[in-house]
Amino acid sequence: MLCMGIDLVIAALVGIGAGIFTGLVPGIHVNLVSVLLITLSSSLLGFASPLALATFIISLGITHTFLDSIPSIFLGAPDADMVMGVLPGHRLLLEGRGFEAVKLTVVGSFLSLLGTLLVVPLLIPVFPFLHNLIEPYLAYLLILVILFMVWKEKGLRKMVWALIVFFLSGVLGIVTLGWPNLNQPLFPLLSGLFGVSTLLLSLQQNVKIPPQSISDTIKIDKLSQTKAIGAAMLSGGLAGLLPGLGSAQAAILAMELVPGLNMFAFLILIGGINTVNFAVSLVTLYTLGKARNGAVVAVLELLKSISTTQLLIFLGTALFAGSIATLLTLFIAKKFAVWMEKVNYRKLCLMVISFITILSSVFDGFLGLLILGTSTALGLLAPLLGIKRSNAMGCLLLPVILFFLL
Amino acid sequence: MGVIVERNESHPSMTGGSLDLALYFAASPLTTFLSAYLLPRFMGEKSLFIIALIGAILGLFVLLVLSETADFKEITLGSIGGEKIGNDVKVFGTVASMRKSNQSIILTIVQPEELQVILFTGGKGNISFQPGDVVEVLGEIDEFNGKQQVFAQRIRVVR
Repeated sequence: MLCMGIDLVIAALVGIGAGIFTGLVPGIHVNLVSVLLITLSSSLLGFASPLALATFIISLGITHTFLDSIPSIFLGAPDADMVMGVLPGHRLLLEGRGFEAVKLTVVGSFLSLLGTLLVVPLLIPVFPFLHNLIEPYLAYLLILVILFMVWKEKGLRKMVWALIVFFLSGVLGIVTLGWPNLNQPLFPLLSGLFGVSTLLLSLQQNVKIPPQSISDTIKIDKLSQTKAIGAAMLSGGLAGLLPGLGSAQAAILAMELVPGLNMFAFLILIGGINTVNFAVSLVTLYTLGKARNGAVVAVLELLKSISTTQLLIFLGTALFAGSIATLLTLFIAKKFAVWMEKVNYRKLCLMVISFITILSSVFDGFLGLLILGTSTALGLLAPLLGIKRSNAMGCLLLPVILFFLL
Repeated sequence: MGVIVERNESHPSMTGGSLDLALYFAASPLTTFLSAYLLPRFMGEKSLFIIALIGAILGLFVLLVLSETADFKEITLGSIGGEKIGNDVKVFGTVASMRKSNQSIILTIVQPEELQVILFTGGKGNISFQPGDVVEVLGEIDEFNGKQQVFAQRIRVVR
């Protein structure tokens, strides 16, 4: 029993280490590592139990959701879960408050995780009912959210452009995600729309990163914080429960359904959503036997089904990893903030653009580059037109709507 | 709702191994040059907008045209063992038997060898196959209990 406990703690710690790597390096996602683990599972099971390997994956996944805000904010290179955090994070970076932006996402991740773990006993009996109730209407809810998003643009001209950008990015998303045998379709798609386009505009505007402050105080009122955490738990929970709804789409839902969130609260929301999504996906696995992300698919492959004891172990692992990841993220973010003052931002932008380009071509060759180029061009349209960047989320929203409707 | 899995011959390596390597190493300095030296020439937002709009529409058009040729690779049941888990493939065969549950249909198709094809129906009860149906299956190779099988995305009854 003691050996099994030590086995799991070691697995969790190794998972945290792996999560730091996947969180900090753009283009490396939890799903990649999970797939690799399953491929190697026959050898790994020789010296680790399936439960230990599953614990490693959970720990890796939770840690990743904390660390991935750092490349998103400091490098402008978000992964799929952090795309909506790029612009507010980048804005704070340009104000010398990059560390504060990361801290806000960490607050969101940790407090939302705590809140979710507290309500798990309430979620377990209601999840099957909620799933059957909401799923048939999700497409219509998303359509309403999109129409509301477009309607909020200032003036008819901007509304029309918002619809155009939405549909163009939607078509790009459908083509890319439906293409057979693409290794990493999301990487060039989202990097171009939200990452490279932001960096290109920074180059065009000759942006200079001011000195970064390492503040210990977050100036945000309790009401905004509570609203953001609540919205993160609700929308992240929906993303963890329903198929096809990812953290980025959930962020759009939350943004439109919970009005009045300022930039700080929005970063708390973004940080919370992907952590809650991951934690809730474990509850979905337990109650419905369905996997909602690549990491949980790997857990399902290893264990086939999970018992109540195993669920408790995983939730405990999530808390353990989340607590350590909170401290690690703040520590690493401080180092990044100091480093950003010394680095030539123009050169950094060019390096990140080059790195994303190389990764896109490594993953998917010429097609990866074509998708990256097209998505970058599309991603430039929204800021140049003065409309919301979230209109480019059509790349994920339109495929999800069609998935539910057809 | 059925899937025929065909490997897209034009992806991921559209040009061949050594050319791909050249592509990787050329891509980075090329984009660096484009970003660093060409972008300041188009410093104006209006010019950048026009370039971005043309680029987006052109890129989408090219992708749409290329997607028409993107296809799954047809395999025989005998060669399925040489395929990697996760690969997309196309398989033709005759339905030998069918088992139905609430959420899925499991077809055994023969070619003449047998292959398990699993189709998740999401509870829709109006999908059915008959032994003797010739079907085209698009899906993903997976492994269960040491045996290869295909999780179908779409199945079309050919005759």
